[in-house]
Amino acid sequence: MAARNAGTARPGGPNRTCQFKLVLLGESAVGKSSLVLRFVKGQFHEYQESTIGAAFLTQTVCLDDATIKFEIWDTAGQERYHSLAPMYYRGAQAAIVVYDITNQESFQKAKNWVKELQRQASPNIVMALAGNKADVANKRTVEYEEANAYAEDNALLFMETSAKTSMNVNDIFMAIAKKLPIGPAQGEPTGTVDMNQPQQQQKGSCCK
Amino acid sequence: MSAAPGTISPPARELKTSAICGYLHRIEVRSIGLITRRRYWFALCDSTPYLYWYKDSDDIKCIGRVSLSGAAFTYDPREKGRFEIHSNNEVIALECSSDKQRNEWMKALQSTRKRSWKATKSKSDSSLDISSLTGRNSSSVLEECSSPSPVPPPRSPKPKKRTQFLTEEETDAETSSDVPHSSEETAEVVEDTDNTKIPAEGSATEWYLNPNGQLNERSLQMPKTIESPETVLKRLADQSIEAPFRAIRRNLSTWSRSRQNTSDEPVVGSRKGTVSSVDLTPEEKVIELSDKVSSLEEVVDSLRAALLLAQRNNEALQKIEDMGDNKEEMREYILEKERQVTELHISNSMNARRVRDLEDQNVRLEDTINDLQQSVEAFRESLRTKEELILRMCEEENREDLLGSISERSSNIPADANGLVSDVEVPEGILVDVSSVDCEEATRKVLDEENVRDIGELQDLVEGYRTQNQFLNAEIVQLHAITQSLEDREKKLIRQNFDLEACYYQLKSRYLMVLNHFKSPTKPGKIMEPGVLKELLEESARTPRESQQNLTDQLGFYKKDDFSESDDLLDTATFYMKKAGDVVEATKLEQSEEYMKWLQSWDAFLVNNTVSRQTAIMSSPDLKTLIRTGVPPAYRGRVWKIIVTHWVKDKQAELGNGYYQSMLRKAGTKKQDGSYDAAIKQIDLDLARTLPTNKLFDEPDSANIEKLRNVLYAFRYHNSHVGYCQGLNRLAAIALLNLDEQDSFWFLVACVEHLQPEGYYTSSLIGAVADQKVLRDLVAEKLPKLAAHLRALEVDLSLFALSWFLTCFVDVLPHSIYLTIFDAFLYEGNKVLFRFALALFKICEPHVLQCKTIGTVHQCLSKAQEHIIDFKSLAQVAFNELNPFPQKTIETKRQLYLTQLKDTGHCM
Repeated sequence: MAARNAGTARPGGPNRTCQFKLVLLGESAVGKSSLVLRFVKGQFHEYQESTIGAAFLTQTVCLDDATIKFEIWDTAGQERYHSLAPMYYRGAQAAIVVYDITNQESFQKAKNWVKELQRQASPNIVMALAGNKADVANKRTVEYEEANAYAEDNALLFMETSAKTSMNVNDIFMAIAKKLPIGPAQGEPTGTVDMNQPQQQQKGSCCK
Repeated sequence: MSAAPGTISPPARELKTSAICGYLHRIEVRSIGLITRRRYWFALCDSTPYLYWYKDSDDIKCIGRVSLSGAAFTYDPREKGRFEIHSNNEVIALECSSDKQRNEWMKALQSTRKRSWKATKSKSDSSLDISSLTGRNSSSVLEECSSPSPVPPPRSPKPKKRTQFLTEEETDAETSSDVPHSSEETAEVVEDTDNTKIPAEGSATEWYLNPNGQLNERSLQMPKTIESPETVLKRLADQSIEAPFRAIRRNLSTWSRSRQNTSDEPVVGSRKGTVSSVDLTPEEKVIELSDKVSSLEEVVDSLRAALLLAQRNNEALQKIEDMGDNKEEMREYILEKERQVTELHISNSMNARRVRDLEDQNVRLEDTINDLQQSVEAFRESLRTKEELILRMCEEENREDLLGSISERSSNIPADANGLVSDVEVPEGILVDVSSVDCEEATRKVLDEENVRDIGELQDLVEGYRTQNQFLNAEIVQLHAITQSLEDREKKLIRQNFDLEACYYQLKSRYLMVLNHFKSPTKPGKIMEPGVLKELLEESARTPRESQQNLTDQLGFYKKDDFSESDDLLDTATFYMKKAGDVVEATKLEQSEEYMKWLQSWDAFLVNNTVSRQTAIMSSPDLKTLIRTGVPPAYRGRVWKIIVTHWVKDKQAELGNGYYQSMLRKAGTKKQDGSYDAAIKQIDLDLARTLPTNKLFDEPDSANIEKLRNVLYAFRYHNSHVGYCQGLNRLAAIALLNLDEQDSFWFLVACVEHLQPEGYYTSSLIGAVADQKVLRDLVAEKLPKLAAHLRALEVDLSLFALSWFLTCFVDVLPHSIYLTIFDAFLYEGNKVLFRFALALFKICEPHVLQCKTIGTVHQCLSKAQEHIIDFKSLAQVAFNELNPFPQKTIETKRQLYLTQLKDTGHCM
């Protein structure tokens, strides 16, 4: 299923549109929904409603030679929703495991998620580790180096992010997009204006 | 009907409801004089000013009702247990088993009436304040637009807010002349005098609009000529002097005519005429002269009045002339005058009202007089017949006496002749006499005895009348008070109405000014400062958003302002037009008969079903139908409490009073111990993340957050098997919008332990997962096309539907809809969720079938709510189009999947 979607190309377009399923996992209240909301709508709510089950959103990013449409599944964080997670990460090509840098426990939980994904998700899944709430770094309990080392050990993309300040939010999604397997290039890569436009818009809305 | 707006926390008030109900006989006199006596169940409740009656004590639907807000109660002490309710020209006679019971009912009726009256009073006291609107009157706009324009200042449209410019002609006249007293002599007015006959009352709304509701063409025109002050002065002078002159002339002419008549008559009539006129006696002359004098006096009076008027006019004109240069002062002066005129208008219309009232009263009194006369006539008639009867009886008696004496005599005659016969006859005659005497005595005795008994009875009756008198006195006092307050209220409303009307015209004139400007921007005299338009726009944008309470609805949800400020005026206009349309639509709906009936049926239900006196609500198909139409927001708290109490009453009895408080204490001590609890921690994390679109929940220190914490803590210790599951916070918060803290706790208990199947919120959510599988089967059964399409694209419905089931659609649908789903869910349970989930899918089906990829289907389903217009259409699908919908199927499937899941170790 996944492969089929990834290969979907827009006929006649200058570059191809690829759809990828991305899932966000992590402990409750680490900021999964906030990251997605920042990425998709450029908004941030201090008191983001807790997610029940999962929420579905989409966002498109442009790379040099392809347009990538993310289908994002933002899952619930509470432990008892854990058993439902396979339903959401099944067939996903990408995953962001989120923890809260002010909460050591959430980092441990993130490690568990990584393990579970390595064991049960698609073998080619692109995984990223996001240490969220970087805006409150003074309350940090998870050191950057520690998380970075863990990420390197497990071949994960790693960034510390802040949905509040929008720091690294687009970057982490872009980084994932770049790592995703895009089918063989067709035709010439188009001009830079076209590619960068949506991204600039996002940045504009984020910096408000 | 008192559809009192549901305040944010109504439940506390409802606790004190004391109600009276019971079987009474209703006595009705039918048209043919047939008297029927039927037994009904009557119920009275504090919350509503109506007395309802039902066929039976546990009925949902009422047979009838009577409004008590303007009712009077009375009874006749001679009739045991009987009393009457007079309301709206209708008399309802009721009978209860004893006088004591009657007193109780009367007392209850009176107190209900009093309460309803007080409620309306307090409501009217807190009625809208429009001063803010009128306060910012047009002066600022006015100055901007009038001062730079080359035309005289009085032309500016500011005085239009006053209601005295009723007819369109006057509008023109008003804009053309400086004087508020517009005259009929104005040339252009004369042209269409037909229209001046618009009745004063109706014309208030026909100022700029013609009877067809369209803008009057002329109302947009500017005056053709601007009169010089001199002409105005002259005209005014003519006008003010002419009127009294006319009066004098009339007086004189009538007088002379009457004189002529008296002098002509003889000429025409008889030859003696000349003589007769000469022959007038001194008395007649005196009379005639005094007539003359009085008529002359009248003339003098009217002249004096005219003089006064002229003087005043002169003064006014003088002043105007004096101020000629000072436009500012002139405007103020004119404004002052206009205000006076408005006041006069108001008092005039009030007087007219009073006159009308008095006329009405007069008519009523005449009616009563007629009635009385008729009854007097009837009485006389009956007297006459009685007299006739008596006369006839007397005659008969006389005849009998005569006959008797004749027979006596005749019997005496043979007695003289024949002793034997007399022996027989005489004793008989004596006997007759004796017996009649005995009879009289006996009757006298009986009468005496009766009198004795009567006296006792009469004393009772007097006692009865005395209490009745007391009661009626109290009744009069109370009714008087009510009337008084209602009158006050009416006056207030009238005043408010005038204010609003003034405000309305003020606004209208401003917008018309704008229209005017755009219609012919080139003509001189119509130049408007560009700032004016901007200011108007700003003002229109400011009004609705000014007050804080307008930002949220009655439940505290923030109103979505889906309009982003746009520079395009047309967009703004369209937006506001739509908004206005919505408002009008909503108002229309609320005034519709259907809506009223709906409210009434809920009222009828609630009166007979209080929490303290619960009937068998659960087995009632009537109630089921009613609940499926939704509960009116104002009644939701009470209805929910009734249903929740039904579900948990056994548990409550078992756990005892103060159970909730003990759970709270437990939570408190555990927290003080510092023992770590994952559920409590999760609750704390979720508190501020519950219903962020509601004012009562959106911040950590919002009004309801503490209550929410208490409810969730208490539930966590009440049901440690479930503890806390994300989603329960939604349910508790929804409950808190309509119920108090403790009831919300029981609401949560009812939802988790009674309405949802087992295992819905437990650590593995196994119940919810099993239901998703049931749902999949049901979709395949009811919506086969959709199911096939989804299967082909490998879309899993439960990705979306799981949260629908866990939170009863709180996450997907707007609150106006999910609250109504909650109503049905509370009554019917979990099955309703299947109904609505399927309905949602069914409504989305055509859109989903168009989607060709898994991604587009996901996107379509994640926006399922966008296809739902309102609850009615959704409920139509859920409750009608999906039938049959047997509970048993769901139950069997659920058990099947539950065992399956348990066997496989529960994995989706």
